[in-house]
Order: sequence, then C-alpha cells, then structure tokens
Amino acid sequence: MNPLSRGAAGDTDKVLIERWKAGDSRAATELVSRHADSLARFATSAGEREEIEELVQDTFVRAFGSLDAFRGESSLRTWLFTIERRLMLDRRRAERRQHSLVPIEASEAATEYNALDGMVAQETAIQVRRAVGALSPMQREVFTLRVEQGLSYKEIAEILETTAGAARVHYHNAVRAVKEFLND
Amino acid sequence: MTECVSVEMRDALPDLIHGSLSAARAAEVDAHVASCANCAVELDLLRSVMASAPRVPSLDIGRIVAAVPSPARRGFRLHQGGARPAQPQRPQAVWSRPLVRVAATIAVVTAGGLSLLVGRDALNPEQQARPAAITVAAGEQQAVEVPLSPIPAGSSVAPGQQSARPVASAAGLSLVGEVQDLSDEHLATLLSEMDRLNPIPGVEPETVTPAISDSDTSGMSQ
Repeated sequence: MNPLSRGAAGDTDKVLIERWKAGDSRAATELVSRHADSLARFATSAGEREEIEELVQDTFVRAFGSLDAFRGESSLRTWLFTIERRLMLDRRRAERRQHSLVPIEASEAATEYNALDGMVAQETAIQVRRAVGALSPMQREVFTLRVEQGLSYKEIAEILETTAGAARVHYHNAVRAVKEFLND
Repeated sequence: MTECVSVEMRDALPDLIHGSLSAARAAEVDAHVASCANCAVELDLLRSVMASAPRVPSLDIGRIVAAVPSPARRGFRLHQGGARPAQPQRPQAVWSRPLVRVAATIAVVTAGGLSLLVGRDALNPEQQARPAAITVAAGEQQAVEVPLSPIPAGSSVAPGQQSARPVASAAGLSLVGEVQDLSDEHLATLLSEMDRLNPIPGVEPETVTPAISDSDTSGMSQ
C-alpha cells in the first residue's frame, strides 16, 4: 500500500469527506492517496492498458463532483470502484463504436498477458495471469475484486450491480476455472 | 482437482490473505488450512494471484488532486459547524423574474385574442350565411345539396355526365366545412355517388362484336 495512503490522523473516509466539504483541501489529497492505487490495480486487472492515470483521475473528479449524492451506505472505496467500472464500460463502448472492435474473447484476453513478460519475472506468475485472463469478464471482475482487493461479496455485488449470492457463485466458478487452467 | 467441502472456509481464504479477519476467526481458518490439503493448495493459489497482480503505473497524486473540484466550486457552504451542501449558484433565468412573467402572460393573452378576432373577420359573411353548395344528383330520385367550396357553386354533376377525367373535375370539390358538419344522410349520398364514379378510365378497349346477319355470311361460304 502506498505509504501516503493513510492520513496523519488516520481519519476514516467519512471524516475526510466532511473535512473536504468544510474546505480542507488536504482531505482530498489524503482520500486520493488512499484509494488511487487500488483503483489503478482494479483497472489493470480488468484489462485496461492505457491511460490508467486518466481513468483514475476521472473517477475522482466524478466522485468529488457528486459527493453530496454519496449517502455513506456503502464504503467510499466500493463507491469509487463502481464509478470507475462504469467509466471503463463507457470507454470500451466508445472504443467499440470508433473502431468497430469486437469484444475481447476470453482466449484472446489470455494472450494479452504476453505483454506482461517483462513485468512478471516468474513463469508461474505468467501462467496465473493467463489463467485469470481466460476467465469470463464477470468471473474475472469478481475474482480480482475478491482476491486482489479483498472486497466482500456484498461490496462486489454493489459494484457489479448483482447479488451477493451471484458474486459468490462467480467467485467459486472462477477459482475452479483457474485451477483447471493451471492443471492443463 | 478436489475441493474442500467447507465452502465457508474457502470463502474466508481471501480475507485471511488480506488480514481482514478477527484474530479468533483467523486462528480458526489457519487451523483448518493446516489440516486441509485442498484449502492449503487453494490458499497458495490465491497468494500466487496476489503476487502476480499486474503492476500499476506510478500515479501523479498531485495532478489528480488538482483536477478534483474544490468544495467551493461544488457549492458546499463553509461554516464552522460542519459542511452542508449549499444550492449551486446558477445565474437567475430571465423567465424566473416576476415582471417578465407578467409581461409574457399579457403578451400571450393579447396575441391569442387578436388571432381569434382576425380569424373570425376573415370569413366571408355570405359563406357564413349560406355556404356554397353543389348539387349532387342522387340517382334519378332526388338531388342533394352539399355545402362545398365556392368554386363549383351551383354546378351539378350527374352520373351520366361523367367527364373523361372525373378525378380532375372532382378535385375542385373541396368542402368548406368539415366532414363532420354533414349529416349522415348527406354523407351516405355523397359516398354512393362517389362509388359510381369511375376515376380511372379503363385502358383496355372494350371488345366490339359486330353484328353479322345470316345474309352477310351466306356469300362467304361459297
């Protein structure tokens, strides 16, 4: 985790939001520092390769622009993931319209991780990423949010606009699929 | 590959990795993993996934923060008792001003009244008193007078007097009033007369069979 991700006083997100609304600009810095890396990691795991920082920035701009609509029923992190996911979907739809791109199939997604060869040293890690990349989009999102982000099924359900039960089923199916991919 | 039958324990593995379990729960899961080979394998797999997570580019936090709207721009009123969302400052719309509203109402009412007066005056008084009429012969029994536009006033059309282009001649028969102004009887008569008209002349010439008498054919047989 980024060393700057915790505020000096260890304020909760809710406190930081109130401080920001009261005019404390440092609260915004603390909130961004706290969640930016997670958002970037989620975007990368979801298959985004370009303009990750722009995506994260757009997520925060949209979130801060509508903080009065944030009722605090879910965590700020869950809300940020939800916003970022919608931005990613919008971005993909726009790319598809511009280039008439066919949605990336699972088998093609698996080969995308060839580009990670320089980033991931171990062959095992490459195989794991290929296995994750071979999952269906929904399975991949659930799996990465659960394993890499440590979110609960309830939080995942809020982000993916599904139910906690469905998220749980997708997770276990994803684990089974990754195991089978690695054993083949 | 076999899986542990305890889905509850398998569900807790990601939380164990992230350290989000209570101490007691973490000890319980740890004890299970120590005695369950399948969960131990799955836990290793999840750790591998965590370790192989794609690296994220370094982010410029300052740049992101600079793009974030400030509380003042968002319309949050600053006060010591905490922040409350204030109404966004919008330029007052022209139509929201009371004087403009009154003036607009007067203008609409005046324009509406004038248009009604002008429309009524434009009607021909004679037409109002007695609309132009066309007499349509309804069979041989009677003629029906139907209010129509001034063009063919007083003219009459009988079924036997159809022109070669009845459609063209009928094009001038525009009604002054609405169709609903006609009575049912008039409408029925008008429709029946229209049915008798043949608007599209037949393109095929009628077959002409000359009458030949026996005397004409007697010479041919010879």
